[in-house]
Amino acid sequence: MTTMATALQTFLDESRELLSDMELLLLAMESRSGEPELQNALFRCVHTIKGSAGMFGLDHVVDFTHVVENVLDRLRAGEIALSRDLANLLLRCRDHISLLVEVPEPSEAAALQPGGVVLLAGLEPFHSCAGSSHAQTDSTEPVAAEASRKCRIDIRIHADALRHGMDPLGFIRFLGTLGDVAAVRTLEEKLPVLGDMDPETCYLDFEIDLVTSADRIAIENIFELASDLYQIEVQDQCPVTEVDPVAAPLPAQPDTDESVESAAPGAEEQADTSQQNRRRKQVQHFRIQADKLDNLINLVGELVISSAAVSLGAEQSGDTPARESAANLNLLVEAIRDSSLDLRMVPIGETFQRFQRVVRDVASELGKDIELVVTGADTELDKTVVEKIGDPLTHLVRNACDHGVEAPAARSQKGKPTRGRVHLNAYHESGSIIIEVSDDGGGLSRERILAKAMERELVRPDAVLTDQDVFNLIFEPGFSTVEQVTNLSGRGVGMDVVRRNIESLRGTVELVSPGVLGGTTFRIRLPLTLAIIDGFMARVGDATYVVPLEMVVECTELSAEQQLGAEQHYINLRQEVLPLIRLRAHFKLSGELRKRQNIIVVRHGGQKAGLIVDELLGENQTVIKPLGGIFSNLRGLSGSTILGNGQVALILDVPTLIQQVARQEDAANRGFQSHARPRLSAS
Amino acid sequence: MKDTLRFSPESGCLAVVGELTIYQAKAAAEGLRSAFASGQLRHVDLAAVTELDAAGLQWLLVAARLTVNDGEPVTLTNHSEPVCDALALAGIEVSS
Amino acid sequence: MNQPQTSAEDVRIAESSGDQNQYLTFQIGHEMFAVGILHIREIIEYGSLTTVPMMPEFVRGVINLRGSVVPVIDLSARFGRGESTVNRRSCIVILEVEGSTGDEDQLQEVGIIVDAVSEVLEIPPTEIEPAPGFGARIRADFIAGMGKVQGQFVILLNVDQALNTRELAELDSTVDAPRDGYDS
Repeated sequence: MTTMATALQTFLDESRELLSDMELLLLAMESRSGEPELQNALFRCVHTIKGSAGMFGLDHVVDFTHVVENVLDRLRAGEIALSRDLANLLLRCRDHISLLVEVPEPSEAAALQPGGVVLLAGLEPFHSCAGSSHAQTDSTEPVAAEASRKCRIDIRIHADALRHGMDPLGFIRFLGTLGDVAAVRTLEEKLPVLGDMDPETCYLDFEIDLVTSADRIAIENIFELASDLYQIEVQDQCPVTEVDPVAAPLPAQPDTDESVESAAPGAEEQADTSQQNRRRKQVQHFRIQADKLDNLINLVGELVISSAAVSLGAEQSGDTPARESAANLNLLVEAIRDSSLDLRMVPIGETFQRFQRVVRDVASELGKDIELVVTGADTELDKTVVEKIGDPLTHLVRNACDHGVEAPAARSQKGKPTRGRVHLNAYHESGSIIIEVSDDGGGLSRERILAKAMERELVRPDAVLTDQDVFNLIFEPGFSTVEQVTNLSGRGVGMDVVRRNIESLRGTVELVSPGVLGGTTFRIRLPLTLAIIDGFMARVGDATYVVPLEMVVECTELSAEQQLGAEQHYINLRQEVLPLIRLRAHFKLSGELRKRQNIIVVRHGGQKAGLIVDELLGENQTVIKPLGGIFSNLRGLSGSTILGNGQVALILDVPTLIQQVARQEDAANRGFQSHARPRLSAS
Repeated sequence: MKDTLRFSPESGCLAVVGELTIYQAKAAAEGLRSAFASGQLRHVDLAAVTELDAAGLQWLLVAARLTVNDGEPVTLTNHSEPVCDALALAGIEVSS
Repeated sequence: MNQPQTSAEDVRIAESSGDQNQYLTFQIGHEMFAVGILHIREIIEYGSLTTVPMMPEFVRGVINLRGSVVPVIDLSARFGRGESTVNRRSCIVILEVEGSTGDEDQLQEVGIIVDAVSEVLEIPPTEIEPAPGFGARIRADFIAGMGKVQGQFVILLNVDQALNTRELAELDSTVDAPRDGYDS
């Protein structure tokens, strides 16, 4: 990547963050619109994007954000109020900005022009009614302070600035858009002689006198993009106008981020809050490229495998010191594995917050009033899981708004408050993360679901099912509820897809009714990471197979009298009928059947089954290697892993196996009505 | 890519051609070093410079400090417009 | 430990841009084939395969190649000539082909079983004739051309086609077809 591309990427990353902040701020302001802190923060988001975009000459972004910024400036000045309409409009402007910043070439932005024009027209009343005090054509927009003053800007530049594409001349040029650059002094003290010079290292610093009406924050914001490479100190030399006393004599701050934190005029309490913010910000973060982290975790995966191999070797050698060293090594490797996986853990809160917007939009579409309550936002899980959970969650949240929460009229009839609630909650439980989506609607009706399921031939009329079994029927493919049976009936649409998505993350989803808030709760259980699996190993034929441990109920070796005939499809395990999956037959492997057979009892989604294997090999923690490419259509195996001895083992996809067997069975049932076989037992 | 620098030992003139930015910085520094090492370098001709950034500016400042033989400074000549713009931006006066 | 990559026969072939006319020749059945060496990652000893069930017979299994799980294809079976029998000189040639499934639009490693590896030859473009329409008993699109080497023809494989991941993935839906003789 060229330095310019790196810088542009930084701009993109930062803009995305700012835009996501902007969305949250706008949503928060709907209930707390009067808070100056929110207004200032909102203004800064747009201002920073505009400033950075200007650095890159992204005029299409600058032009649009300029108008939005102007409106936000008036908002924080109290000249206009945030109505619901304006909030809607600003949210749409935010969406538009996010489209604009993703456009790589200004010339390609033309396609977005019509949408922008509509939004700008909508903003018209909000930024033009101030009369002539703000000249729109003037790109040196007045920010807070009204009159010009001269300020001294000291710019100290990191040696790597040029390598990162952060050319100081570009910044100086851009400073010119804020006012009049009265003087520039290039400080050459650090410049070495030719022989010692590294031509790509930056040796220069600058001092600039700028006559401007822009406030300090606006000036600093210009350098925000390069805040880790540029140290900026702004001093007002002859302040002509009222300047924030907090802001004026600022000592040199190594971190521009912090100084930006100190905010707008007046308000003591505000200064307090920003103080708190600073304290909280003491936890230092830095950005890492995601693929570097993935690479590290892959390597750690290799390390885990190699370490297992070392242990195996040491064990076999019988050499006590070697075994002890290997055991020590193992402990360390496990610690490294845990810490490196921890690096990729992110709080789920960010994902949850996205749903504020979803709920708001869906609710207004449906003419409902719904509040989203978020708890457990700090709960952490693997970034790779977070990325994939968005879609199923969106579906469930929309579903809760659409089919869970009743219409206001129906709610008041029932004596409930007209404002409905959807609750997103997350917490850790025994090595998994649980995510709950709850609504305070009317809950599910067992009878109606059952009737529907029978109509769709998903259950037989004489089936004895618990409430749980009945509710879980809505995840069955084919549980379509096109007709309006009740106001809840639409719940079935697409639920099988939701379940499949969650299962592909090695997770489970269940439905509880009445749920946490009285209505329905969808409870998703996900592994904390997709990189590693606790498995139970078994041998079938030549190959080793791994069953995810969380699905294993028990393992038994069948006694002599329990040995199975080839045609036996069920056994009675402690008075429970257990359907069997003969892996050897199922996988169409040839070879002799073992005399003694072993059963691994697995459970998934309330169904149990017995996997028949040749040999039980015990538990193991393994690193998952996806079986991509030519195996992408293969069902029944979810991945592979490398064993300590270097051999590849295959990971069984238990949910799919159970499903396949259940389906074969259904087919058999239809064929031989007289041989009534029990369905898969429900636990 | 064309060479950024052309040095003719006879005239002692080092001509910079095209962009003089971070992308050419390494080559330009090498070129300057070898021209200087030859002992023939007298002046740097900037007529054909089409772009100058801070890396190029540094290069110029370093070149301008060089002295040859009896302490005679290497001179920068024929500043092109992009060079003048960049120098003006950096607040450096062109003395020629 | 019996890892294939520690094999003494391990031949690593360096990538370089001047190798366009260089081909690795090898034998499958009684025929000579050649693959441009830019496609070839390495050659390893045959062994340590894990059979993946429910795949067509030309997918012999997967191997652990320094931590990556790499599928191994039996080209003889892929060409419809029956499974190749493993002998003392059998090798797995690891190739890089274009991945075309889903969003993994990058190069993928695939192993092929060959009965014996011969040598790396220079075959200039002038010595390459277009694939015959028939007569090679192999699907025409698998053949990139026929190279003339010392008066004999070798089949230049179009590996991106013969080992096209999407096509191979679709073929594996033949899970219901019973297959025998899979285990040894």
